[in-house]
Amino acid sequence: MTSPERPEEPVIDRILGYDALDALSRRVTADPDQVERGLVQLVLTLVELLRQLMERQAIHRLDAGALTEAETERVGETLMLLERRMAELREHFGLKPEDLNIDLGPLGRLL
Amino acid sequence: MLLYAVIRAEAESPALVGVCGGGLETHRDAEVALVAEACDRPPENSRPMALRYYEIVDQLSRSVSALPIRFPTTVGGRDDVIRELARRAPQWRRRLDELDGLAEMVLRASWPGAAATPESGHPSGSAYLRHRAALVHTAEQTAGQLERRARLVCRDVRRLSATQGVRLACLLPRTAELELRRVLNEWQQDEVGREVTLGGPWPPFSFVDVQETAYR
Amino acid sequence: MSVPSTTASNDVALVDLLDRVISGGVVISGDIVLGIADVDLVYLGLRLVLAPAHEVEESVNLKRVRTS
Repeated sequence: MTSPERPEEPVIDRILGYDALDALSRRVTADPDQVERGLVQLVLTLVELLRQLMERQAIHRLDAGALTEAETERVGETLMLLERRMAELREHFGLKPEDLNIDLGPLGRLL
Repeated sequence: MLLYAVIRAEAESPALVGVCGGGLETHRDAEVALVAEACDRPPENSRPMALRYYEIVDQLSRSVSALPIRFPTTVGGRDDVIRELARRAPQWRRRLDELDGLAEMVLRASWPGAAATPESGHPSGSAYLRHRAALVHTAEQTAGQLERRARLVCRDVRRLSATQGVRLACLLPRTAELELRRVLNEWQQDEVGREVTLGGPWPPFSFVDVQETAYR
Repeated sequence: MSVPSTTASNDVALVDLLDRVISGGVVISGDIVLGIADVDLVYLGLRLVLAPAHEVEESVNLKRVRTS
């Protein structure tokens, strides 16, 4: 998958080995509102992913008895506030929980 | 070209109309074939469109053994199609034999308190975390119980992404649906308060790969 | 109480069905596919991140040479 040598070839195309910018421009809409919504979706999905990973870790440690009472309180409070903030942000942008699930193609869905 | 399913090379796909309004065509290689539709532009990535796509794939599956393709998959043209066929033919052929006549049903379990609604007021951090932990434990226990029961009837059971609740995919012959319902009904009677709803049967989207991945 | 039929729990079954249709099924990937990810920025971004560092440097240097 080598790309032909062209004098004006963008860096990104050399790395990816094909006309990536062309493929992208065919797909990405020019509507700024939609682009913003897409980016918001992306950011919130990543934050939600992190929240889930952190929660899983915390529960794992709780089960293993590896958290002091003070730590349990602190971690629990952080996660609780994060979940609430996430719900507020989702509502603000009119996104449902199932909207926060980006399709990464062959890598499957994020969540 | 919008791709619909992988079928055996010698199979005859029924004459169906695709989501773009055109006829479905069969592109054959030596062992396997791809059922596709020449669309002017990629179909809209929407729920109604996905549903229409599913209905066509479902009709196709009822007449021939088929591996459904994820929606939406659009490729450049016939050459791309043929190249992909040659590349994956042996594994696809094998899987087609293994899934012949089998469909999928999705089990979704619920129990009192399963919907983790945000707590009103201000619970302490500890209370919150312990509550979340309890949810996870109950979910895991429920999934385990359901899987054990389902395996009495299903050829294979796969757990689906846990973020959307306790859901399992079951691979079974369409004729075994009643048997599955009977088994799950017994579980509901044994575990008072726990309930399960069933979706399907539909083509085996969750079972096209041989390897079970951690997340589906 | 028997397991509800699929017609009784239609909305839920529909959500599960659509989830399978877009998250399951055979995946055909690579450059023959025209648009496989919802957010192509993410996909391209990931590939950019995964490209070996020296390749990126090399490309950047080459570009500098060409434009100088």
